[in-house]
Amino acid sequence: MKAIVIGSGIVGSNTCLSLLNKGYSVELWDVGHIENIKNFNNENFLNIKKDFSISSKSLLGDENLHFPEPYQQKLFELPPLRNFILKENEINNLFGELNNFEIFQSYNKGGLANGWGANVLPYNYSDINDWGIDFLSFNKSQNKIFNKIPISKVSDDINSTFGVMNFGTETEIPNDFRDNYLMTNYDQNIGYFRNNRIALGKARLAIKNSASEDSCNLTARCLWGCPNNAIYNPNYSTLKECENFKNFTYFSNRKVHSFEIRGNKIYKINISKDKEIEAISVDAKIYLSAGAIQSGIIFLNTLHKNNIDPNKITMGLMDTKKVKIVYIMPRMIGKKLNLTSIQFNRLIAGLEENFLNQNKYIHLELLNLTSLFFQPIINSIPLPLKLSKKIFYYLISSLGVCTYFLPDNIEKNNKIIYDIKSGKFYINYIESSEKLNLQKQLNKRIKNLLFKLGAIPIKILNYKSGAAIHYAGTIPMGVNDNYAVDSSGKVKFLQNLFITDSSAFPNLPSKPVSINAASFADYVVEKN
Amino acid sequence: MNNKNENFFLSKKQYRYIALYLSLKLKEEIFLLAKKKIEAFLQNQKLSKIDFILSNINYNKINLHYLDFITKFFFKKTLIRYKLNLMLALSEADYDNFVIMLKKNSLIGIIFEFLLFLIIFFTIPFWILFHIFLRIFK
Repeated sequence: MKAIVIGSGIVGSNTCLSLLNKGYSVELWDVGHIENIKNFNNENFLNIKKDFSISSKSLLGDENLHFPEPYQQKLFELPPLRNFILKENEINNLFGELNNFEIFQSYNKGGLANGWGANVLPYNYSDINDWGIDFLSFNKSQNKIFNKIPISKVSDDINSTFGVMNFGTETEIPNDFRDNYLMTNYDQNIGYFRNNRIALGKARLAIKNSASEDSCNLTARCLWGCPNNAIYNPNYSTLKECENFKNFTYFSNRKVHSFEIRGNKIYKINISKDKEIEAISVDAKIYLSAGAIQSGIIFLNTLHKNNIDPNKITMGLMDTKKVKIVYIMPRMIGKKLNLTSIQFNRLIAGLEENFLNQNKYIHLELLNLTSLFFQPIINSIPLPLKLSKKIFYYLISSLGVCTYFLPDNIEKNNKIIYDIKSGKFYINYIESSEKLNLQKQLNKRIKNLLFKLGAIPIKILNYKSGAAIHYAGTIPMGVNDNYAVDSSGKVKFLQNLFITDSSAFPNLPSKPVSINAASFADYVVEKN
Repeated sequence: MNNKNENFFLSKKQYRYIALYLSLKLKEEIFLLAKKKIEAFLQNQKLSKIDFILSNINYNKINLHYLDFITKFFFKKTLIRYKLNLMLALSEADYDNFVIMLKKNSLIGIIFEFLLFLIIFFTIPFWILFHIFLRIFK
């Protein structure tokens, strides 16, 4: 049995592994760029600064690309030495108008998972009860994936309040003094939180944290590229595992453009080579795992190539829009910063809120400022630089950011559109009034939540949809004939095409999408 | 770049004043890199009229307070804003300066700076008038 998997991110690599374990002969087709991270030894984030030439390059970049213009407002972004995300001009070559939607894509081996924030939380039955999938089988896949990827096993109020399943094999990432402060206030006001269906707990992070040599050694360089590769990245784990199988072949430089259909079967895969298209004959099951945006584009190209009217098929576009609330913890002012803790959030919270007549779980991440590039934040304080700098560094240990993610659903007009004339793709995306109302309600509730935790909210930062990089729903599953994908991930009108990534999700819960998409991939493999 | 006077570029004297203004430690490597980056900025960016007007003002401890103020609130797309932000960013990348920034801050320092900010706020019309007169009678 032969299978071709398209895309090497967290979904593609786990699709490969599931297929290999089932005895398939697997080819992984990928663009396969390699990220060239300049390795600067095992120094921690602070000590790297002792070498000014390396430090200045890693913070500002060679061409100042990551040093914001004086009039720009930025909180923080991926360091300039990371180069796995497509540049703005590459996105512009592919897309026409983005219509207020942000697109982040990667052609690298490992995909967007090269810079994953490592937050993990399994979808519950209540999150996806309208997907029409066999939840018991999906749960088996969750068990497999969540216990294979190194995830800190946590048991706290989030499990007990919301029935969040308890997966993982790694020990918890240690708290710092600010996390402990928030947790203490949470415990002291537990009655309020229980009455309001809010729970605070530890982040479930896909970070190796056992006693092994390749575990997190707290260099605080997570975003800068972990020197131990302790943060889950398919490049260093799942793909390596796949390579141990004799019947696994990795093909780079295969940027899939579209499929050619004969009867009800794909018989050729078209590859983009510069401006040319090269067709390769295939006789295999094909698993589309290129990520929701790329899979959607490949699918649209396929419809166009094979003269299938895209208007007859329900397509969509979703993202868990993120909102950040900056807060200050007055009691933490003046405390000494621990510059060797992890850069990611160590605490998360969950709450229930009504959305589209259903109680939806809302995922929150609480991040304290430790080892980031602060100049853009200082620049965003509306005071002269000297005063801003003084205020910021005085308050630094007391500042935090609460990020929450809005669930999304398929809206008729929100989708990627292919324009034949320009040969480009356009994004149509309008935030629904329900979503905007939900955001208003949540802002109010989360501000109250922060007050109860001993933190004062000071600023709300609204991000464009797409900025959360939790894309989904470009080729959603559904029972009706106008849906292209069935509840097992199989494309209905094709014998040999399966969608394993979040493209197939018919709605999008607030929880982190990546690992749930990897679980879905295993589910699709098992079902077909 | 012929029509640009020396104030557009980063001289050592300017660097010293900016470092003094932002309470930063002088470092030759920061100066050299900042100079290079500002030259690159000048080659790639179109300067505005306000850049040319502001270039007539010499950097010193007093003027930098006013320049920081007016470019923060009124003329954000100016070279001076870029220079100030760049200096702070580069100092953040430097171990000694970063440690100084983390350690040397206090509530009294902020109150003092805030009082200075208020003085700048109320005296800025006089400072502008002074520089207009200075230009006329030069």
